[in-house]
Amino acid sequence: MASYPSVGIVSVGMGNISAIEGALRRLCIQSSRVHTSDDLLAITHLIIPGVGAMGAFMSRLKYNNLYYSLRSFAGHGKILGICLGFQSLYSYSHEGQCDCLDLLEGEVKPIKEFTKISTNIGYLEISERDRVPPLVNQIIPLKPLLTENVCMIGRRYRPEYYFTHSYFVPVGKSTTHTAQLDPELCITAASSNGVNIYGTQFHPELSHAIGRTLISQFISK
Amino acid sequence: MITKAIHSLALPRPRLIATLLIINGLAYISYGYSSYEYVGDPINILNLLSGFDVDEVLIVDLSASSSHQLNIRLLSKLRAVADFPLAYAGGIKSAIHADCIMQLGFDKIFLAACNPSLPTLLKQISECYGIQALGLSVDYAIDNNKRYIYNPYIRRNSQLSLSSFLGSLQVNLLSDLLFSCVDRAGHKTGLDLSILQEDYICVIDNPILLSGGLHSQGSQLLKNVNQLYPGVAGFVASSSIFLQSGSSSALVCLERHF
Repeated sequence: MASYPSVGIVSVGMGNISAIEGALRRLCIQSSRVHTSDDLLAITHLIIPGVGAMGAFMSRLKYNNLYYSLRSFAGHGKILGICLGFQSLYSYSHEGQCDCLDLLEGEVKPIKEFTKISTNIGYLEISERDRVPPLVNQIIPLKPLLTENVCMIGRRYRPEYYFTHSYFVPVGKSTTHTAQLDPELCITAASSNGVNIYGTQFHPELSHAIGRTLISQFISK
Repeated sequence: MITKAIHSLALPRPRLIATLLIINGLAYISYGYSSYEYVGDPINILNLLSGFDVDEVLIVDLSASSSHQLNIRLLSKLRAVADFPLAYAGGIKSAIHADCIMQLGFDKIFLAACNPSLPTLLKQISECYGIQALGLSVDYAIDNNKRYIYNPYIRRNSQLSLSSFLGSLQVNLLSDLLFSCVDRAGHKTGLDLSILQEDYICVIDNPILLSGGLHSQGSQLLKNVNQLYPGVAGFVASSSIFLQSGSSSALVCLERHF
């Protein structure tokens, strides 16, 4: 295994891989696409991208012989799951009624069963949950790096992250950050096993500067 | 008042979405879908938009709609310069087209209401990419106080009323519903907000986006959009709205075009 950070992005024919590659390019970080289990041998950090339906995604992981390889990689490598990739870290998803990677405990449930809206799309602020492991805190920034006395205009420097999803993970054991979807529904915005597996329901690669900060901090760990 | 307070506390704030209209690889703005004005190179404009308060950009390729050929080269360049969500509309006639767009790293596809394969495409794309990656663009025009689906190919209203269309639509297979009032497009006469009072809109739980007639009120529009239009998920405006309301010196050369 390489001793320096080497980033791979799961590529099974779906997910907004190009957007993640673009964010990494802006950070001057090279990445490779992980198509097969052999590709995992050369990387230290793995990003599981978002955008897709869970049933199709899990089928493609299995078709590409990546299902068990990813579970095995979780034993030593660092993983960041984004949106669909984040949900795939959990045990079971009601989207497609399928078993997922089972790296974190919990189930993925449809938003519409708990609130009036069927899809959550937009920018939301997230909140830290009590007793977040320090390591996670260093990775998921709540505040923008730019201080208030630096004159920057625009939303892109606010601590907001871009969400787009119709399924969610209820707040559970691994939840580190939450977001309030409506007055009745609080969802998991980010989670971690506290060691090497991280997931964000939001899209850091689409969340302007603060999102790139998160990716950068994940890679530097 | 209470509703407003809850809205501002809990729900995501309304999104400001810029439309980038592309014809033959160049950016235009449209006036009522009948006349078009050249505004510049799409990559330059997208770069400029990334410096503004734009939450998302919807790229509409009109030439792809007529030729059924996607401008893959341009779209991949656009994806490379944007660090915000990108949606695409134009020329999506099959699931293969949708695959091409999503493989480029786009986050959402908007299908047209007049797409003859709409029911099939909704099912196929939502099964593969999830409903959050699928939106529907509904162009309508008002005739005798009734709203009718507008067909841009024949440039006139279809016989189908908006209420009938929505009644037969499987809204559970998609997320954003973008309503574009053709009569107001490009004229900056104000949004057709009365559509929000219609019964057939009130029963829809999907995020509602409004387009057509949004006019710039300078920075106020961008700052106070929450208070101005509570209850709407987002607004779609020509990219010129955003560029004109900016004051950066980098825009000087572009503003000549607007």
